[in-house]
Amino acid sequence: MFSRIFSFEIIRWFKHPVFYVYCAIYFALAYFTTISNLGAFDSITATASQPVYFNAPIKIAGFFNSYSTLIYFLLPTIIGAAVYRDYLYQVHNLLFSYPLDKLSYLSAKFLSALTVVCIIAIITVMAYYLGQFHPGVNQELIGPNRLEAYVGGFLIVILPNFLLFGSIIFALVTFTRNVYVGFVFVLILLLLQTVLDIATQNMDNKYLVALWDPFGYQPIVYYSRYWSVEEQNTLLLPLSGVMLHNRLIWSGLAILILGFTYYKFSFSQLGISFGRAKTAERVTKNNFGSIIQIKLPLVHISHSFWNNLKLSWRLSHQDFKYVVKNWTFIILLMIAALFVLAIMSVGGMLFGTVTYPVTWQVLSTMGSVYSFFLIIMILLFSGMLIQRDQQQNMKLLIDATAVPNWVLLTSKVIALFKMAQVVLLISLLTGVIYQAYNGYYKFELGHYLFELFVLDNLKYLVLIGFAFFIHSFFKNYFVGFIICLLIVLGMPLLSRIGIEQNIFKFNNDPRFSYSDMNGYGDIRHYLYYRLYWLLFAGFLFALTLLFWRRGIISSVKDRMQQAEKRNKGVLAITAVLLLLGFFGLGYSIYYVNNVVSTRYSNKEREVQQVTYEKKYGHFKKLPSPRLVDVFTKIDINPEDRTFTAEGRFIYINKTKQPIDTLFMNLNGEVKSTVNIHWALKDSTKDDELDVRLYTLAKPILPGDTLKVDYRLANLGNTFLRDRSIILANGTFINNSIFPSLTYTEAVELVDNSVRAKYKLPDRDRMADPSDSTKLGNTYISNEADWINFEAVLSTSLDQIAIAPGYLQKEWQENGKRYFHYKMDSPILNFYSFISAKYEVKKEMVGDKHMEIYYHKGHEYNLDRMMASIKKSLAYYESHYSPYQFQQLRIIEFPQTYGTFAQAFANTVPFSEGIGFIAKVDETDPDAMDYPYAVISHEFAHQWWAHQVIGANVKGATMMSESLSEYSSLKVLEHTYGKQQMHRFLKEALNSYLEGRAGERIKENPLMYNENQGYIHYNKGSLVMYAMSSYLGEDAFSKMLQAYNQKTAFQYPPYTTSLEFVAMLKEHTPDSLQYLIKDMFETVTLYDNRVEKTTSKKLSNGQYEVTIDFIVSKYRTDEKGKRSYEDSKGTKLTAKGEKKEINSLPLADYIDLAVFGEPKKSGEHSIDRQILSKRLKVDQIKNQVRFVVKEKPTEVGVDPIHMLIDTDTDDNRKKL
Amino acid sequence: MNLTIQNLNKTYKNGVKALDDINLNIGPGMFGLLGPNGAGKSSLMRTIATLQSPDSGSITFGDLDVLNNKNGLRNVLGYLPQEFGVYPNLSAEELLLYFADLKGIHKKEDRKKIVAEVLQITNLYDVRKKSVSGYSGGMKQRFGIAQMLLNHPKLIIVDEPTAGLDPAERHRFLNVLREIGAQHTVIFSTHIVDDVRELCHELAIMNGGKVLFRGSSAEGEAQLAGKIWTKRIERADFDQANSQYQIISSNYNQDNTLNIRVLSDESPDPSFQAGQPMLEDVYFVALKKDVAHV
Repeated sequence: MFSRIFSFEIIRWFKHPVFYVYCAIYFALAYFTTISNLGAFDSITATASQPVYFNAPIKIAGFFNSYSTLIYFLLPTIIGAAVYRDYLYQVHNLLFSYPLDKLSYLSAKFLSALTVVCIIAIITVMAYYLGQFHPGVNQELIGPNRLEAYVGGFLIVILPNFLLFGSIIFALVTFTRNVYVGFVFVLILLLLQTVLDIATQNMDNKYLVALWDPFGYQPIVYYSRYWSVEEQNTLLLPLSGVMLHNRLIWSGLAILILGFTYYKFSFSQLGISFGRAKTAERVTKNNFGSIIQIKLPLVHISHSFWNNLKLSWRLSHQDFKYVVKNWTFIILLMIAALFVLAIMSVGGMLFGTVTYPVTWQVLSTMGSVYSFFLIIMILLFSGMLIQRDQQQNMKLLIDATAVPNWVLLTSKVIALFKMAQVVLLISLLTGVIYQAYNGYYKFELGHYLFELFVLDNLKYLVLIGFAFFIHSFFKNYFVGFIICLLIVLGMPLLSRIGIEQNIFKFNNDPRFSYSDMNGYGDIRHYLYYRLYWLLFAGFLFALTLLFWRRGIISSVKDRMQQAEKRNKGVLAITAVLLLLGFFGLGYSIYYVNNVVSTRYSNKEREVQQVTYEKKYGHFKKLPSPRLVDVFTKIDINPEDRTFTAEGRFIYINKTKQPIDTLFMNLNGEVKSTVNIHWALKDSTKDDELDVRLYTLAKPILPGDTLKVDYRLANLGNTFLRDRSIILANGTFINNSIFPSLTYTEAVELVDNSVRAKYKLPDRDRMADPSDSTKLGNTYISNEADWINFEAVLSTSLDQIAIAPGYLQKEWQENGKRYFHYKMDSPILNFYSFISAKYEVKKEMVGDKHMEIYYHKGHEYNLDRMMASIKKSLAYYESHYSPYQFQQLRIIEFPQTYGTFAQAFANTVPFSEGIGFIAKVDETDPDAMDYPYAVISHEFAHQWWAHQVIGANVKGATMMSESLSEYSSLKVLEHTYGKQQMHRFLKEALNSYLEGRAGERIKENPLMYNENQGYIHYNKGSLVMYAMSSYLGEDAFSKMLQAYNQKTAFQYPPYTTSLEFVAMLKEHTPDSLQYLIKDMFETVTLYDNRVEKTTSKKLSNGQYEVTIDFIVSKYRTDEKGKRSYEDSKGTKLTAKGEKKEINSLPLADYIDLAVFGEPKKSGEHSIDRQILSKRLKVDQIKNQVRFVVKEKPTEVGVDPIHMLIDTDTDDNRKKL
Repeated sequence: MNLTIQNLNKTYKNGVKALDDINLNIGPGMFGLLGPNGAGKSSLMRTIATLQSPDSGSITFGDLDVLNNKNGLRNVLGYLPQEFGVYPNLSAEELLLYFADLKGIHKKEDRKKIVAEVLQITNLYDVRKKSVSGYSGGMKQRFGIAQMLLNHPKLIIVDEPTAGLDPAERHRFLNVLREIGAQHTVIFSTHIVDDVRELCHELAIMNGGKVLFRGSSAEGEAQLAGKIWTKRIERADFDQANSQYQIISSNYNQDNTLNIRVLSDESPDPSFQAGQPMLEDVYFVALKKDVAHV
């Protein structure tokens, strides 16, 4: 019996065209993803390149994970409907009268469906494999294919998940007889995945997360999260430990569910249905046979256009009611709302920081969720509405009435549009409720209404038209839905084959962005794109009408004939007009983007980088004049977002050679005119690369001065969008608007595999510090050392314009407000111009002017920022050197430019998106005081960047970013106490480890880092903090002070990390020299852990604690390959529980701590060390005994995570 | 107004010729379309009702070109398909108001007025608040009539409406139909001869997509006058009789003997009695002839 049903089901699927459609779609998608990742489209797109092999085991598992997620959408129809189908086609009446046995019936149904899904998955996997042999793919991205990796991935990610989710959906659909319930479950799954991702980021116990993740992806992350490139390329995912346990737990649950289904299923059962039971009333017939007379009252019948319009509106009520009363809709909406609240309440985490729930942030957080749901709803319900008449068998009745097709379609469009309004309204309410719940009462209803009901609506309207169009060609709305979904989800993939412009990607647009300071800014480009797609949707609407299924269509021919007949009159003219409008507007947009402004594809940009290097690379070696003096006049016109600028720049030939040619790079974002006060022989323009070459009539001799005047203006704003870089409120531009007189190495390609393709020699991202010829430039500017700076800015009357320097004079003239700034000492060639409507908070700290320029309404953290300024100033002046300026200005800028802060001389622009709206929970010991930390970091740059600046070679950022981050940690430590430090350090450690796992080229040791964020910020702060801890804060500060004294404000050759490290070595005792080798010169990691710990109460009431701990240390090369042997080839080994433990030879100082009962602080508990010891360790296995006065609860080795260790969870153990 | 059908042809994708050069002219009154299942009746009805396009041919109603002005016809059309469903959980009244809307009755009062009236006519007024999806077969058919009447149709097409109705329902249904037929053109398809006999003054017999007979039932019967002979035989003798005579129909008696009706220009045998031609004979003769042709 089992085999009969099983094979019948399998054969049925094989005969079903839908099966092949699914296979083809998934095969094609997977194949396409594969070959585009492998660079098959390199000839039309930017070159694909990455260090981890495309088919590394971890990548295979990742691929399987993402594709099986896509296949979940098939589970309801394939596995879910396996039994349900028998009910649907009423086969059950017959079937269940046969002597079937329940077990064979159910198991055959389930297993055959599972097999079918697995076949589709295997076909997808085959596409992934076969794609690697596609002609023209980049073989360097492919490693050896290993069968175990594929099998392992299948067993870990695919099979158990299909089993688990399949069994749940099988049970749900079988019992409810409703495929939607299965479908809703899939949607919940998708969300659950996202929620888990977000929630687990903050969970400390990664093991538990890995154990309980139903998708089986967290165990993979658990093992591989910190894998280096080398490890990712070679290691197989272990099918043991937490991975195995996780898979067994969930597969076990699947079997339980199946067992339950078996137990509950009976052949005669009725479906469980949601919703009210219909009120059953007895209806009886009466009085038949009477002869009646028919006299119908006279009614007026009209199908005039106006009446039809009104009719569409009235008819839409019916469809609208149907949708909103539908349980699928209600459940989806509820899930969306709950999901939004869940996300928002996960600490209100946005951009990794807790902020006040300001409206734009609430909108952006929930926007993505609601829009995801709304898109799903539109794609689904459009199908249900269009197929509804047919399904209820009412179609012929309706189609025989004289209602025009367009009325029917319009009414359905209106119904869906109304549904969208319901969802948007709910999202508005969710937002407001969330804000109120969090005690935030600045409800900006206008803002909500405008974004949701105006801007967003324009998007959904287009989607509605599109969805009806697609669905009108499919009788089965599930197929229509999948097709719609794939088209919508597939749009971003078009970039992979070089289709990058929004006008070629359905329903795409350059998004709008909101800023409290600048509002929606220049929003008209968005509106034009929306109009463009609306015209397209209108055209689709006309096409839908052309092919509208009225009555019975028996063949394609029928349909074509009908369409041909309809293709005349108003419909044809409207369609043509809409199409013309679409193309017309499309062409205008194209014209503005490609002809008025030049637009380069990613591929073209890559080629430009190559051309730049090949054509002008030799200028690297030629001498160039150096900028010494900058005077600028900037006139900003916020009203019409234009500006003009004038720059009078003075250069000196500081080299010992005459200069006969000037190489000039222009900024393509502005219009520039150049006036060189020197006789020219010749000049050439290269507009594509924005390069000018000037041959001088006579050379600039060493020591000669060159004056150049620049005049800049914004690019003209077009009908479509502003091309100007000026905003109505909150302009923030920097020195890069001006031309520079040197070749810019930063333009060159850095990925050597891509360079090889263009026959460029290998290069490192930065030069080696030991190369003395490379020390002539700072890493901030390659055309200047220290410059004199003066600026006159003008802006509108209600705005304040700011540049580095001190305000000399402020006045009004010609309806504008002028500011004259001048710096009294030379600064780096790095300055900015800002203009906005500001409120100002000013305070004097000693003789220093401390000022915060902020947007009205963003007062939340001003005191906190000011406190940080004071504390930082005190610490830095006492530990490093005096502050070189009389003033510090923190200046808020719109998040349109991003969410960062940046330090210019005495000026720190700080994004409104972070800090200013941060909400800091003072009572939570784990909460990060972001505004405080960012201010102290940026302020520290006034010393570590604006006093001491490294040469433009490897390691340069260690003396700016690492030291600033360290400084910030120190200020935090002095403010909040040591007990908060482990949190920051752990954060830094985690970011570093994740960063190195994602390294695309190579991981350098700290002192050779090539401007790599995860090294210079995260590892740098850890290392500096550890050094300061080992040497003692005073000793380390003395060293920094000495280094500052030696190198501050120096001229070339600039300092390097070599000099820093050499000096550090002098300040480090012999016993600690190993730290410098480990932390600065190499990439060294520990694998420390507490093996075992016991405590016993002594007779004197004290406690004796025994700790068995393991210390192991290893180095990795630039790809992450481990080695345990030192340069002499010695290594330590010890026997571990399962395998041998190796380590580099040790003579290391390791911290050990014993913790007592945690201290309570409100609802939080704070760690409390009762004993802390630094021990010298030379063995892998160690045991120590301590006697402590009170009851110990926990012990730890390196308890505050100062050392780099990929697994910090095992550093502590509870007693 | 006359409905004129000329040279109507339709072949389905699977090769079935549903309409084979149909020519019909139908005047006001009740017109019966008689034929076995699969004869092409529904295809013809749907084609007239603008719900299906023919491969070739023309249909006019009065001076209205039906195939090229579908909505023109729909304005004056009442159509009741062989099978239909309705949106669930909606009452008869709600649904009728909905249909009144679809049919272009744009004033609210008008809609209310006419819906109340058709509910009365079809005797559904008392159950107007009940959900139609819960109606019995007969009530549902009456609902079908009610929706049909909303736009004062001049051409009414009902496709096998009596199938599955109990006798009382059927009776009532036919009465309503007759009442409507007095004023309009009603085309009524069925495979039950009695329906047509009771109701229609004219009829056509269809099979295999062709019209086999066209006329009134009296005409049909007149054609067979003196050609119908009946006899009572034993069940065992049937096969022999069947090979010997052209049996058009036979039915059992309670004692398991058979009455056979035979078509013959003269008395085949003295044991036969002359029979009075009935519409049923006309029907079966037409079908048999058609089979003989094939």
